[in-house]
Amino acid sequence: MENIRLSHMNHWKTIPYRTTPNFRDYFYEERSNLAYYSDWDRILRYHAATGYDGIEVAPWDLREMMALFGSPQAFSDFAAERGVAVSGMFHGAEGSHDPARREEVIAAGREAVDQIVAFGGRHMNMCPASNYYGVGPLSREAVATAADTISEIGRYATDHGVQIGLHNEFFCAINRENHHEFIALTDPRHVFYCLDTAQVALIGENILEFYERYHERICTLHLKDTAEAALPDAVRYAQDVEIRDDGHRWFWEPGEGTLDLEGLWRLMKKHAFKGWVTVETDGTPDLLASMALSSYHVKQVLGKIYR
Amino acid sequence: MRIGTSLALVDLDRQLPNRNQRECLYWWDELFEWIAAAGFSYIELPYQPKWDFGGRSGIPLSMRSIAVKDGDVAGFLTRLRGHGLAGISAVHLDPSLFFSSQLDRYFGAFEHFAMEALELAALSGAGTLTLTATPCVGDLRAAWPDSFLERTAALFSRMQAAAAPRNVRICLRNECWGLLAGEAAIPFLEGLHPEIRLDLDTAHLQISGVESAGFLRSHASRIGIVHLTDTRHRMTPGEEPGWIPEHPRSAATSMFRDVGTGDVDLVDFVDAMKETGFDGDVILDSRHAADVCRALLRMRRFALRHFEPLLAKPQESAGTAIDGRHAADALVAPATPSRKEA
Repeated sequence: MENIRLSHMNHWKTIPYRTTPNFRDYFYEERSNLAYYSDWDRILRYHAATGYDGIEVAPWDLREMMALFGSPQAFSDFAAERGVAVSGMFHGAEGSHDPARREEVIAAGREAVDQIVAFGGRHMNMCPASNYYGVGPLSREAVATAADTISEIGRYATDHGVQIGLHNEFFCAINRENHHEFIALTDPRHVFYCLDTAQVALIGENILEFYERYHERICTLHLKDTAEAALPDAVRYAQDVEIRDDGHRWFWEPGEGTLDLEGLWRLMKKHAFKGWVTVETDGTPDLLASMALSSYHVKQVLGKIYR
Repeated sequence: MRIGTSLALVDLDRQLPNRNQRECLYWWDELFEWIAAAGFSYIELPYQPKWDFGGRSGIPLSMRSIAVKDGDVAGFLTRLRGHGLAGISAVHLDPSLFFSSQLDRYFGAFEHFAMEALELAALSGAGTLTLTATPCVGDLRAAWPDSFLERTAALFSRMQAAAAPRNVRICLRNECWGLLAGEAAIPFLEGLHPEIRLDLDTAHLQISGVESAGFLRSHASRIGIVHLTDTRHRMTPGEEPGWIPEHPRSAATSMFRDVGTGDVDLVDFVDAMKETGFDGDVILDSRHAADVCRALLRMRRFALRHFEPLLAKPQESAGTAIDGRHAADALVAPATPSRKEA
């Protein structure tokens, strides 16, 4: 049994069909690759074929997924038939810093936990607050409010067998100046950490030091690489900075950037990490190619260190 | 009459290779150049506020995106003109995104974003704001009150009252998967303010079983704007549209085809336009094209045959260099070279 199970964060957007029984006819409509990306049957087979045991569901796709499958359980069963399990779902805790929105944020968090349970997933990887632009800098009271709100959701999550993994992002209102304070204010019994390697590096953290410090709380990873680190405040705090006007990429497949992922894997071995690692390839021009490249790097390069 | 093409050409919903480019401002700048090179002066803008919620302001399909990237509508128009386009001839809002069993929330969101779309239409000089009348019929089965169409009519009336002083015509679009498909739109339209017209979409009519040229000849006085769209699809009897209605459940297919590649008799339709003296705006619409450039050239070919005097001659544009309008871009090196530098 391997220590690391590989999952992939779903960025497939709208998939209009469950299966395509008329695949050849559909191909001949355009004679293009359109038919290859149009049904969940094939998408999930690509997961299995490229070495992924799991898929992390995206909440922005849920409406269409449920329209196709009817229920999270039906999707999970469909995926399981193709050798893929639902590892969890992403969630954004927009407004967590605002006392006036506490009940709303907690209700949304609980609903997301219920959805993850219905999928049979384990992880709720959560961006802990709103984007920095228009909200930051957060006062210490606001940081404490966010931590308290997230901890409340965390209690509900652990009661239902789900782990919240704080998934910080370089443009989040929880940022370099309050990142560690925020983590310290959350309840370690109920709030864990999903280390997004590129996001945390772009904030300005050293991912090896970060992992060493928080390894007991890091329950999972979003694994991706970057060619930059420690972006200046003016960049991290800018509006809509996740997508650059000129197409510049923040994120790359593991091994295609400059992060010391091999060092990270040595630490994961040192601390006997066990569980899901989700590859996330947002911003890629070719999701299938990125899935394959990433899986190869994890299994054939990093896997020599720890698997 | 102005000849334009719709930005519905761009499929933003499917994760096909290179879709990531379509979230970036530079790609839309290039698209505007391609549209102008294909001979179109005007665009129809599908109003899609959903991209606001992920901070995707590189996609220029909402007032928020325009405010973030261009400052205001005037700035956006300046940008369009810099790429060889004259402006926006129409704006279209489909409220299906907001639909749920909570109808108060649906109608509230519909009207809120319709007002945003109206603001864009008015400030840009677009003559038409088209509103999709109803979501997909399949969606409505779960929440089907008798009052649904009454509330829809009331909303259209309020929009008409808001639009008229701003020189914007409200048009109604009746998709083939909605409650008002085909001829069903006419009695509903006759119950609305007489200045509200129909947005005639040739493919939607044909899929609904209605021959579009004949429909125009019968109802010309009620048509405000025309979409030339194409298809090879027909609704099978008893077919219930799925939640993603342009991908029917009966078999995997793409409901819409590039203009000139389906079997809608668009030649007869153009003849009908001439016979009836229709002189409103025309939008050539290759919705969610598999290949954007190919679709533009196909539409150019069709337009050359039927609308040549109205096509723009390709002009020298200001180019596609990123001018540093996004503050964050300038702070991270190395910068991606502009197309002029590359």
